[in-house]
Amino acid sequence: MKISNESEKKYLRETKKLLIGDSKKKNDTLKAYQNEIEEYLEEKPNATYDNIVEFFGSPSEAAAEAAAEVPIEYVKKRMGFKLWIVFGILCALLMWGIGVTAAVIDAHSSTGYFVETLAVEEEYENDNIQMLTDALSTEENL
Amino acid sequence: MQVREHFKRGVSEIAILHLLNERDMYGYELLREIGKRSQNKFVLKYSSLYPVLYRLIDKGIISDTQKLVGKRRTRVYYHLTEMGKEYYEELKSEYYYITEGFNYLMNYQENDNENQ
Repeated sequence: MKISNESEKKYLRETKKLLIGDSKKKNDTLKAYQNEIEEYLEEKPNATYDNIVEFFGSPSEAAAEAAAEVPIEYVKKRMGFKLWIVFGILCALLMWGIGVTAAVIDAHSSTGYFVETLAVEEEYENDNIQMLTDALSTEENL
Repeated sequence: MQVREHFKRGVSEIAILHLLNERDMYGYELLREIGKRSQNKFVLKYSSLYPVLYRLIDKGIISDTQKLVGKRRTRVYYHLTEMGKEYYEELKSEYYYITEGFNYLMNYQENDNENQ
């Protein structure tokens, strides 16, 4: 059903954010609120958001009262799932932190340039010199 | 006031059943009637009414029926079942029994007790 009243829309949106329980229960609760708010608005078409809160309770009150009806098994299951998510996020943060720390340490300890060493074998060098000397002497003879 | 809210919570079930014992009503109507008949001294918010209705339906004490109002709006009427009528009578006598005892407690004086 389309919601045309802005105050009603705001109230239902805020209540939806705070509701817990399975999606069927949430939808049933919102539907019940929507029905009754529309009855109220039929009688008081100029009612503001505050008037709705005064008559129906604040979104947090609505969610808290509805939560009291949610079975404890569901809450425990949901809490367990949330704890795993928090644990996962903490692990990811820890790994990211280790990576950043390692990169910072590496940056501080390096000189900023590479040193490359070339080793030329002495025998090979002597052969080249000999070849060069031979070539020069041949040129002189000519 | 927090204390008043606790009191209201305790008796809201009887208030709802009392009205539904008269005739079927929808949520907003229940709130309006409770306020009107109590001269606005016992005002319930829908956030307090809804969970009670939900629980009573779950227990089979009341039932809900959707009725189309106008072209597109549905209205949910609550109805007291046969089991609910028995439950209401029991609850009412319990309520009177406890309030009577409570009145004795609040008005108790040492002299009264000695005279008896």
